[in-house]
Amino acid sequence: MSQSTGVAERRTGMSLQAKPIALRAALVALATLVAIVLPFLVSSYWTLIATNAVLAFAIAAPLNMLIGNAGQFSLGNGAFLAVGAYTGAAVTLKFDLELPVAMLAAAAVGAVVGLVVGLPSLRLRGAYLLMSTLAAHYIVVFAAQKFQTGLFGAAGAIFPPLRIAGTDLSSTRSMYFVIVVFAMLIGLIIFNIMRSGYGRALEAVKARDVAAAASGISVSRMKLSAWSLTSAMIAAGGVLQAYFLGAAAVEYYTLNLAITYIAMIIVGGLGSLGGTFLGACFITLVPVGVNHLSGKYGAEVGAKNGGILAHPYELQTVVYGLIIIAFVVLKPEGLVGFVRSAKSWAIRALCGR
Amino acid sequence: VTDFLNAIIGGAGFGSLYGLVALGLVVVFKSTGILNFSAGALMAVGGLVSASFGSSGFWIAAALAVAIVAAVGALANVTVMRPLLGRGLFPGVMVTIGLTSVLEGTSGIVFGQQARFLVNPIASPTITLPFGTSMSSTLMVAVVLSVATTLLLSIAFKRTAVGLQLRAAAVRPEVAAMFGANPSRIFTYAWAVAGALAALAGALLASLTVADISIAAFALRAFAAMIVGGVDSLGGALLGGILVGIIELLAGTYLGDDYRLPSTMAVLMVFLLIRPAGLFGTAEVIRP
Repeated sequence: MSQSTGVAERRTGMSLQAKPIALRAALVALATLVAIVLPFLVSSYWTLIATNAVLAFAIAAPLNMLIGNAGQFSLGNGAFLAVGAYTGAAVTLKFDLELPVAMLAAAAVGAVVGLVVGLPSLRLRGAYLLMSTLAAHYIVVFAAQKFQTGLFGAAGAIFPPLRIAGTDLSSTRSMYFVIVVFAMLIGLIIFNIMRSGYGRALEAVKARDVAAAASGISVSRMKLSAWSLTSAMIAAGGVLQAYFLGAAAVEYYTLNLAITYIAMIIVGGLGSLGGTFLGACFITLVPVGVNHLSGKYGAEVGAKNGGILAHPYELQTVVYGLIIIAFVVLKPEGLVGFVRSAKSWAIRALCGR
Repeated sequence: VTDFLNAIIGGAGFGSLYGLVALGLVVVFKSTGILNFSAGALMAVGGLVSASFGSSGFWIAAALAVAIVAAVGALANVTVMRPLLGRGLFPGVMVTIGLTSVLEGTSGIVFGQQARFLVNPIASPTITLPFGTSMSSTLMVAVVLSVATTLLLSIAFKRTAVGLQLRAAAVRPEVAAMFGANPSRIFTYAWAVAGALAALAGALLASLTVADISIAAFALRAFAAMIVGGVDSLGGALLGGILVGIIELLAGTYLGDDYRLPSTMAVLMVFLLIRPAGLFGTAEVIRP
């Protein structure tokens, strides 16, 4: 009797172990299917929004690796996007090369700039490190501004329609697919990095750098490589973003832009790739939702008594701030926390425990 | 030479405004360990509130703005900052960033988008100084007010019971609580002080330039001021602000206006790398 329950327990234990892998594979397959079918089902307006969300994921995912996994709080991602966009602009417009080359060049420059911006992390921590990234943001954006006026004129760099190997990919739908492929590549890279020994070493440095050093991990090499690697990925995303926007103009790369991506990883879940995706979708959809609400009810309500729905932009700002505050205070593990508790609830319900 | 002296005088004037905001940053950072990114928004709201009371003169408008924004700061602490105590840097920074967004949106709904103006505190707009230099009378008032506020705050920190409790609660809230201090009430005072200082700077800035939510960006220099002066020194914050202001206007005069913000950020970076404790702060000791 007791033996049979033991066997049963072992079997459920095994199936519980096997399940996440099968589940994950099924989820990835499903997500791929949805991603492929989606632009054929919805209007081009919603395809654009989906593109925005996927691009936001591709940029926020490396940032989440830096902040969530490596523990280096950075406000510098807007600057890295600018580095990528302007490197891409120079390669595209001055040397007449195509997107893949521009992205590789941007990644290389991004890696070097990331290394330099990450240097203070060897001496500083906490609030001091954060302020050094704040200073770096303004210095890099200022350099980008000088670069822009020197090379492209005051208005910024206008990108040509996207072409790869002579094929025109500038339509809404093909742009979406290019960005989806890039996002999947980024997701795959980060997923594999974080499963490797290098990824575990990063987590160790975040948890306790002294203990990590005692285990034979070179803390400074880990920190610098994390800065360099994630900045390279963000810069490559910056090229694609500039193509998507049609131009690189220095006014776009503000501190608020950098904060948007941090908001995504907070809302989604620090250190979680799936969470980054949820957060990117959520934060991208907030202004859309508020606009729809305001467009639907704002006109009649606002005209009568000047309700807040008549101020869609201000309302967006307030809602966005409240979302950040609510998640940090009430749900620090982010949206992925809901998914995790739902999953453990489902497993418990299925196994009848 | 006149350009140079004017840049130094004007820089000291604007710098004392950065110093006022930096004082608020220091008070909050010292007591709660939270790096307050909403200082700029609090300052801008202070400017807008004072401008909307502008018909009753500068001084009454400024006093009302100080009182109202101090209440906003205290309210922010009670509602969203208190749960974050002891959770480290990241949550505090993110919540103050969220608070900035809420303040900006709300003030847009309440005050509208058009810029407002505030009358000068002293009737004569400029004061002529030796060597052909001159100074805006509002900047002169700013220097006097910020020096007075710094002195008042230092005395309050050293001599009053609340000040002593605040310093004790900053080091070890549990032990301070055992000796009869109430850390959460003390931290509310700290936030109220931060709001009041930001509103004072905002009212002065509104009278110098315009009252608009975009003046929040001025407060970025306060971070530089805080580090240059030393994060735990009140007088240092003011002097750091003045130093940052002077460097900013010198860069603006000799390199061009677009060098103003980057120069202050470069100063911030240099101090972080060479002397993170600042000019007057005590070096932070990290025990691994």
